[in-house]
Amino acid sequence: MSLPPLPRAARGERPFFLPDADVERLLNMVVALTGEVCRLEDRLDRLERTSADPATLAGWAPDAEASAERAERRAAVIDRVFRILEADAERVLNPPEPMDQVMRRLAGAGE
Amino acid sequence: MSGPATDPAMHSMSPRLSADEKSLLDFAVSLKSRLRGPMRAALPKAYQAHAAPAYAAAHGAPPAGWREVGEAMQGEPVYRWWSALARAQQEYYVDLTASVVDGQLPELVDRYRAIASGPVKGSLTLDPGVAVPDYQAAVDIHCVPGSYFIERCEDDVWAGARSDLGSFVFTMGRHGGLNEDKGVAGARFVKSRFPDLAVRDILDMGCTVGLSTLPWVDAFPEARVEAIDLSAPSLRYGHARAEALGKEVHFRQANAEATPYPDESFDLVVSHILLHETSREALGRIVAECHRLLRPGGVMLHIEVPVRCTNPFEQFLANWDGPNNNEPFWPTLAEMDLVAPAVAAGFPAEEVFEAVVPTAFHKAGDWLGYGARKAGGRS
Ligand SMILES: C[S@@+](CC[C@H](N)C(=O)[O-])C[C@H]1O[C@@H](n2cnc3c(N)ncnc32)[C@H](O)[C@@H]1O
Repeated sequence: MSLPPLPRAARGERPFFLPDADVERLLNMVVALTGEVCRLEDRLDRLERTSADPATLAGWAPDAEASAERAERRAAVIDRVFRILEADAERVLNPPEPMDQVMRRLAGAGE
Repeated sequence: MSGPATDPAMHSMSPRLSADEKSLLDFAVSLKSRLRGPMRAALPKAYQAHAAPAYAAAHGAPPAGWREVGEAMQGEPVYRWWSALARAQQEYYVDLTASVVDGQLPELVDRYRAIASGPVKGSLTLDPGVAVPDYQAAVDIHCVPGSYFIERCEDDVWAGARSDLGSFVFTMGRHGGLNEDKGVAGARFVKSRFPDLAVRDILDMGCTVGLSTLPWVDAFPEARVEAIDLSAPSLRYGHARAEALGKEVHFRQANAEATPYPDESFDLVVSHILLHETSREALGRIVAECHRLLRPGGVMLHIEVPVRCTNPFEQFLANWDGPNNNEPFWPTLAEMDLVAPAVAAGFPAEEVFEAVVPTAFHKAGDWLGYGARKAGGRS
């Protein structure tokens, strides 16, 4: 059975949220690449845990403990890749003192 | 139940996942859960600290409704990035589930045929004459290319299989391994609110693959359960899925606005997240059809996403999917008077309700239950 390819775009206008739509296109590529990194991490994990015997490898699935470890590693990859976005969110919640104000304060009256 | 499910519950119709595909789906779920993390938490603060005051300064008054909140938020970087990431995650997981299912479609079609031609408990009745209405055709709902309706081969089940797999990722396992929360929660609600209701016949409207239909079979084992949808690929898959799980459901391709069933055929007519995918006019016709189909004293219950919010900021976020995830009717539903269509359909005004329906699993927040009880029939 040879099927015509699925459409890649959903019918309907696509909103872009960032002022530069090209930056947002790059974000979509980063998301996909992050998924690939997580997949490769899991694949290595599988190799290590099975010491790469092809027969063991094919039938291997993570148990609850291994799944939990993988979930933690996955969260850590997301932490690293999307850190800047969450750091900005923290700065929204706890706005830092403006730098020039800090500099002026530390400079004291002597200047 | 200890927490969200980490894997979809498998049945013999389930799309199979290679180890690598499972890793990618796990990533999609982890990324989605992150959208409820620090960035989401910063949104109200960004609104209160900058967006609302800036809007008030420019317009002489704070944002009055959710649309004005939206205007005010457009310039907030944290809102822009959160939205951009949310849309990227949506497209990513849709594309992933689409390609996983596409890669094994011939085998899924074979499995569907094997199940459907074997001994079955339920049934499937397709009607190619059922047209796709404008509210389903105008855009591909929640950004699935091809939507519920694309068919590329004989006995195509692609849209149904993708929807089964995709629902699990979309709900992050928080609605149960079989994504049964809406049905389980709805049935509990009916039993506690209408303990006297005798249920012989149930209709589920807009069933897709029957995720929410099957819990009604379990909740009312004596009843006959019918389920309708517009989407043939979903109904085929749903029929085979129900059989694989050993549940008797009678699936039919029909439009909920005008079904082929005779008057007073059912004691319960239900739907789950159907109404927000329709239109104002269609909603009125669907409610009128529910009234026609119910026996005296019968109950209509539509389980919906919790669209009603108490302040404009939360309403703006609750409506995000409307313009941004191809759910064009959602924000209208959030503001609609739902009593009027029920009363126009013939339900007594005092029997119309909107209620909070608690999740039976781990959904964040509750469901909205909208319904009414038809006059008569009670002793
Ligand atoms: C979000 S899905 C419903 C999900 C499903 N009830 C569940 O709980 O898993 C919406 C479904 O409603 C169907 N639909 C939309 N308008 C309809 C109509 N007028 N009559 C019947 N089905 C309709 C669509 O084809 C789609 O399958």
